[in-house]
Amino acid sequence: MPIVAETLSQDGSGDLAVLPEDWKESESVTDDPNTLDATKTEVDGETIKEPGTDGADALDAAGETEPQTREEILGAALQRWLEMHCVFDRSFSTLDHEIDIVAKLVESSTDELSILFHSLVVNAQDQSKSLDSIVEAASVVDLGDEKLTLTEVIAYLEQVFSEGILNVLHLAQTAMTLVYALDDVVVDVNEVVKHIGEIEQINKQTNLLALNAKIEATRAGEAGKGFGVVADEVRELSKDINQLAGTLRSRVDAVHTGIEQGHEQLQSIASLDMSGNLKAKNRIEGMMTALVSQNDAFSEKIAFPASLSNKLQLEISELIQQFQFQDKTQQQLDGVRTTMKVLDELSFDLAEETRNSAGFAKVEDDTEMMEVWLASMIDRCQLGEMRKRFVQGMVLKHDEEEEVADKSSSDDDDDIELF
Amino acid sequence: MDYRIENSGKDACVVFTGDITFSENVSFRQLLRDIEEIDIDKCVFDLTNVDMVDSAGLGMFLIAREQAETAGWRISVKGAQGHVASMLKLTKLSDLLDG
Repeated sequence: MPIVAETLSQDGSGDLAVLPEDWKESESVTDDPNTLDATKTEVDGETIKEPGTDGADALDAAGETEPQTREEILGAALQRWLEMHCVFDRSFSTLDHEIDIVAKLVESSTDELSILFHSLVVNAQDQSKSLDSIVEAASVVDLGDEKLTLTEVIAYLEQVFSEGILNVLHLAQTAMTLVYALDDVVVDVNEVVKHIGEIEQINKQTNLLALNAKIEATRAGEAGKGFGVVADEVRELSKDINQLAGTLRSRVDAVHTGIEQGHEQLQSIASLDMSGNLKAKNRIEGMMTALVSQNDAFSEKIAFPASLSNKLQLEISELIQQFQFQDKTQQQLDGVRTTMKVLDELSFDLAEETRNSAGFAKVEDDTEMMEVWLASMIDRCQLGEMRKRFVQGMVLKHDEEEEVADKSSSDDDDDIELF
Repeated sequence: MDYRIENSGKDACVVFTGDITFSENVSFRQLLRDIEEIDIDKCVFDLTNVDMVDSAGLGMFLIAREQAETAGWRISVKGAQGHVASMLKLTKLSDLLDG
């Protein structure tokens, strides 16, 4: 059964494990570029892989010579671990700074969005008020000191029209009453005319009697002289009565003529064909009904965008409340930061323990391997600004920093800065 | 205009035929005199056979209402059609007569 050599003891003390006596090193380091821990060990003629050491390509990149003993291999691996810890430490610090930037970006963006959405709410409110005022203006007639709805306007017109019709009716009734009164007057006038005729007839007989009396008085001679004078006076009186009767007849005839003329005038007043009024009323009613219908349709069409505006206003308000995700994001970022800090502290403690146990010196300067790792990390960073901060945060050597910075600048065009 | 009075107890119905215009005022007054001579509580003007009524005709109806109020009987109309019905609706004469 093959034996696998371990780099560290299971208790993590850092002590090297005891190897079997027949263990011997291989002649070369693996060429497999994908395997970081690929130092080959041959036991009982069988080649095995030894986990826990860094990649052979990294060793090649560092240009180091091949370790000859297991102790040297493990020592090199521990040295790599300490270098990696330095990279971890700088990375944690840089990432911590990035988390700050992200948190501030989220906060500022959230504030800006909140301001914009508040502005949207205000605009939606203004729009809603404007639409409401349009609906009100369309359905209300402003007379200055009072406002009437179209329904009230129509009711008022209806009332005015009805009152006009009622006045016509009352006028017609009054005219017909006068007509009947004049008819009665005509009857009375006709009676007067009849009586005048009777007076004239009586006067005619009186005049005839006076004439006969005059004749008889003349025959009587001197004895009838006085009676003849009376007969003459009676005849004169009869003439006056006849003249008066003629005057009365002419007056009554004038009254009769006036009554007939008044009758005709009353006929023109009372006899009004109201078909025109009927047509006018029907047309006005039709126009008013159409006006109300159009206004209702207009109000309904306006009410729809008004309701949409109100709905938009509510939805935006709810959306603003959803901006509380910023607090949640901040908490999660704090959680990530805390976890990274714990990892950094654990890594530091383990590195210190490794250095103290194995007697390694503290890594002061960047090794070539560290620079390769850092460059690898920076190369994979897609955002130009972030890459620059990584370069600054990692504190590379001056020349290589420039090299990476130049590379960052040349790659900026490919950055994805916008979401 | 012709008219026919159908008397049934205290109710009377005047059935009109033809147009009711100003020229019929004498006949209408005679009608009022005829109604005055009978003792009724209610009189209905049947306008089924009336084709035309002008404002003078409506005025005569109102004079009839005055006479009814004075004599203590009620008046109403029925059977109006076409133009006559429209005129009654326009003038709300039914309400006036009933009121």
